[in-house]
Amino acid sequence: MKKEALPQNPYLSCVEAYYLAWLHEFFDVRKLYVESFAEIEQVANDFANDVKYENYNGFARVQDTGEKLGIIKHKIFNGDLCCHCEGRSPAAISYGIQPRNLTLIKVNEKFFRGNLTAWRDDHFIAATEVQEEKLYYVNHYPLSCGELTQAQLFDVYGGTMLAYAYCDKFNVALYDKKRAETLMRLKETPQSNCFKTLSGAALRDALGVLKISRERMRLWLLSEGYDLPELNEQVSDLQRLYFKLGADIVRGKNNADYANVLENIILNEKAWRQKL
Amino acid sequence: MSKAEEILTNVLTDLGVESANRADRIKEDCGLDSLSLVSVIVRLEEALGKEFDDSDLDPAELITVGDLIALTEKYL
Repeated sequence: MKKEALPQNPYLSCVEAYYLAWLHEFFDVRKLYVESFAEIEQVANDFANDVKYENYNGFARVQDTGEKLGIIKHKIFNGDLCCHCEGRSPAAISYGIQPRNLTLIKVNEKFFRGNLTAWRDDHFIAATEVQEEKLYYVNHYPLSCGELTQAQLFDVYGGTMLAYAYCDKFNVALYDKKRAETLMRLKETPQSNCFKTLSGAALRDALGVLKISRERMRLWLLSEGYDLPELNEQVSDLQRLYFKLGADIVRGKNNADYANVLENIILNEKAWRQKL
Repeated sequence: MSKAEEILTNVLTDLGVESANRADRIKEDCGLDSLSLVSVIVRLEEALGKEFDDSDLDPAELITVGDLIALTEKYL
């Protein structure tokens, strides 16, 4: 996995970013977006109730969908690094470093050396190679790659490792069921005035989640043979609005009126879903 | 180095980007996510003493460091 691959898929967390970049090399990850739809109203209500972007769970994480569909199996290792590696860390971690395995290592605040912090309270790096008792890794934020000696790894280890293995048992019947369910939901009419209780960072974060959801819907529908210009427009508008809101917040413009553009998001939503 | 490149380099350095070439991609090569790019934009505005027009702030058009240099040059 190269670090440049990490920003190229729509993700909500660093684990999703690693998982998609890794799996993308040998599986059509667009199929995993079958469970990535959330109604605008639901997302708006969630953020009106103080849900945080980094913990958003209004639609399935791709790693959970992958497991349900029989593509991936995962293991979680908690506790002391030595126990898992039989005293041979970090070389022992290499059991998971194979082309069709992914090993993520939770790191603590020492990893950031006081310069930057992760944007959520847990952060993972992805192991890519072990050579001469050094662990090579890629890091999603700040985007980088590097190496850790055994002593450094012990110092920054955050107490958990996640190991994913590709098992290539795609459950077609279950996928078809989820596909039908999602298409049925998309054919419902979205509600208007969803955003009226949101402002500031909560509105920005709700749009950020919608941006990811609709980009995934765009990719998933493309994989199913639906190419919808109206959905392309919705994704572009959400990206622009998310960016503008972010800039206005940093500029200190707290009273900006987004009513017209938000109304346009609802109209876009109705337009692309009517085409299905 | 042009004035626009100088302004942008100062902003990027402040945000921890050690070196950047015109062809470098903002996300993949500089490692800036959407919110980091927002910080770049607002710091550029502060350095220029001007606010960018919304029509110039389409993230789909801001792909490389060269795009940011062109944006800065437009408001110099």
